Amino acid sequence: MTTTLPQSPELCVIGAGVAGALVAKRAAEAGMRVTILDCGPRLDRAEMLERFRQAANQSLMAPYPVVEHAPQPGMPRTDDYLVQKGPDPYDQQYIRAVGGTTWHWGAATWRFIPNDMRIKSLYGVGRDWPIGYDEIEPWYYQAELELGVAGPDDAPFDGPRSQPYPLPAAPLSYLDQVFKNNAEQLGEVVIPAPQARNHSQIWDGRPPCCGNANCMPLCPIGAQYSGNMTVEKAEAAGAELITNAVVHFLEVGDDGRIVAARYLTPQAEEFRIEAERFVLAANGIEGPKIMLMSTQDNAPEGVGNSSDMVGRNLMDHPGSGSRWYSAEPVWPGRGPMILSGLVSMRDGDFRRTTAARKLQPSNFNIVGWVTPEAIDEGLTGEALREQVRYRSTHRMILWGLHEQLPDPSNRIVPSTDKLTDKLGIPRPEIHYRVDDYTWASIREAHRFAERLAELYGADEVEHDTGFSGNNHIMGATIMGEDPGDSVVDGDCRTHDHPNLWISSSSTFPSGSSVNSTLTIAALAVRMADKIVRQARPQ
Amino acid sequence: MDDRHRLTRRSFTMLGTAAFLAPITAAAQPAPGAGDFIGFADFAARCRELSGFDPLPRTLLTRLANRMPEGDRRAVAQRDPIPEPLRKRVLKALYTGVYEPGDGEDGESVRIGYPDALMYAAVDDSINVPTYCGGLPGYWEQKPVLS
Repeated sequence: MTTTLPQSPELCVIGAGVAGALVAKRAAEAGMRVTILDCGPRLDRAEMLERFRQAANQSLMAPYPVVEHAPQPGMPRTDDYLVQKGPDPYDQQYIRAVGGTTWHWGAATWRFIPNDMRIKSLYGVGRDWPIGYDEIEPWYYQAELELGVAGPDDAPFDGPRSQPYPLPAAPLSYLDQVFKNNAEQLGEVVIPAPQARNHSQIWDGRPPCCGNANCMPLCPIGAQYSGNMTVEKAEAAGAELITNAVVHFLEVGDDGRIVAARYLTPQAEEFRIEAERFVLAANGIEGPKIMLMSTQDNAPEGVGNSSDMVGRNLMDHPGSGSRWYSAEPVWPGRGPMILSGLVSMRDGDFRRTTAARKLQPSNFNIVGWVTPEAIDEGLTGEALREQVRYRSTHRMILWGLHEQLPDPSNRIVPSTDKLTDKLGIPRPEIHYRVDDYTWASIREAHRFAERLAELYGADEVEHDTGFSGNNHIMGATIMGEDPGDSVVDGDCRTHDHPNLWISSSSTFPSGSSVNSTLTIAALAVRMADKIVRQARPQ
Repeated sequence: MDDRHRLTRRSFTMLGTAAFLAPITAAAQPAPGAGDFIGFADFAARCRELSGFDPLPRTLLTRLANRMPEGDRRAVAQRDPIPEPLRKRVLKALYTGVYEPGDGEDGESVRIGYPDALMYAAVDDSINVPTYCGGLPGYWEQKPVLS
């Protein structure tokens, strides 16, 4: 039996991460009746901190509860939930709970640069955005205010700005200062990373960072932004939040409008909620999955899928890693985990053949990584103690985020093997391959790391042989002007359904080489403005 | 010995409290209800020798002792050479704070210590234990002042 909820809001937002929360908050503040559905529970920071400290495996997912009705990819293996069909793994973590994946992020809030949105026109690869940077720039600033972003003034290779960052840039750690000096000797540009974190002042009720060195998987003190903060503001403005509501189907009316969303409770009871408008903000994998599961007479290929593009063009920023020992100590682990970025490889004519990249030194505490290595080598006693100390203070790690082009064969579909979760909902099945455009960039990063390591006095450099996932899930409801080969228009509204918008990095036609959250947030506040204008015409 | 081994040994001031520690004399007197077995003093002495830390955090040591099977505990306490797999398990437990069951032992890895894990003590004058506050905002801009 399906129960229809009595309320019929003006806006139903599916997903209470940063992408949904910003739309809900702004709509509620404008006086709209808003209901938010989230598949998971509310989370408590103190409980999660304690769970992390007690965990034997302090992984990226260690603080987060296992929620059987809303499973999420594990760590380090994601195939306990994601069905990996290859040929390459699409190892992504995300959190299905109120606040979403910004609970475990590094708070990196980079803007795209204008050329990121015109790579087809400029370099003959990928896709252009149907909107230009100028159109999104004011919304970037609005998003930076919402998240409380700290960043540098007039930094080269940062997105052009009409107003300064809301907060001053974070001071660079000693490690980052050494990195900057060395990279600049090689002619590159390093700038402080824009971050949604307070560093020297209270902002928006958040305390200043005191260097807990645990931005990922959980900021213990709430100095950095997480989506639950905006959810709470949305609720304060009057939005209703329904937790543990696992949306699995969107109903399409005869006129093409979305009529209702159906969800299951943890006990598998089905409810439906009717609304005037819907925003799907359920994550870059779960969102397309819901759309593809919603096959019906009025949408035989699924919701929004007349183009057959839903689920396709899945992208990430495949990650590279290089390591060496500095002759002098650099003390990784003092302060926030990422503080700077090498940005001069973000753009250039090389993008015709080779992906853009952003390189960043790791300021992660690595004590727990180097210690088992030293023990496995057979060290004991004083020699072990000194090696742990040496390795923990001298090891440099350089990570790279590499652009990936949209490829329709990289896709997520509901499991074709009928693999389901506890509620009987199909698990996401991933088909994914990283092509040579990206691999060429990874090789460039390795070569650069070797030149850089020489300046540290390093004897040798180790490189990751593969690539790592960066949890930047993009592309699977791609934005474009042509309804024949895209899912949403420049306003992130679906071509097929006039009252359905998608708030997610899944709308990105290109991924740039920088973290995706600020662009998600900018598109979300821009979307909210358009929805409010439609609902409340002046 | 290369440069990596030539670092100055520091006094161990984990969390800055002597009561937290198991010095030679204290280690011979197990904490109430914990590590209470014949040979604990020898067990503790061997752990000090293996780890390079003297003293050792009492809680960490007693939790390790209580977690280990009797046979393994005796093997550590005796002066005979310790089998390599057991030696590594003991060191990983003391250094990382996570006890991994040995072959044939039931159960999963379990945390026996976190801020008192020895790997953090090895760098405690320069790098803080993750999740714990490292200092005043912006402290990370400066080089650490080493003890």
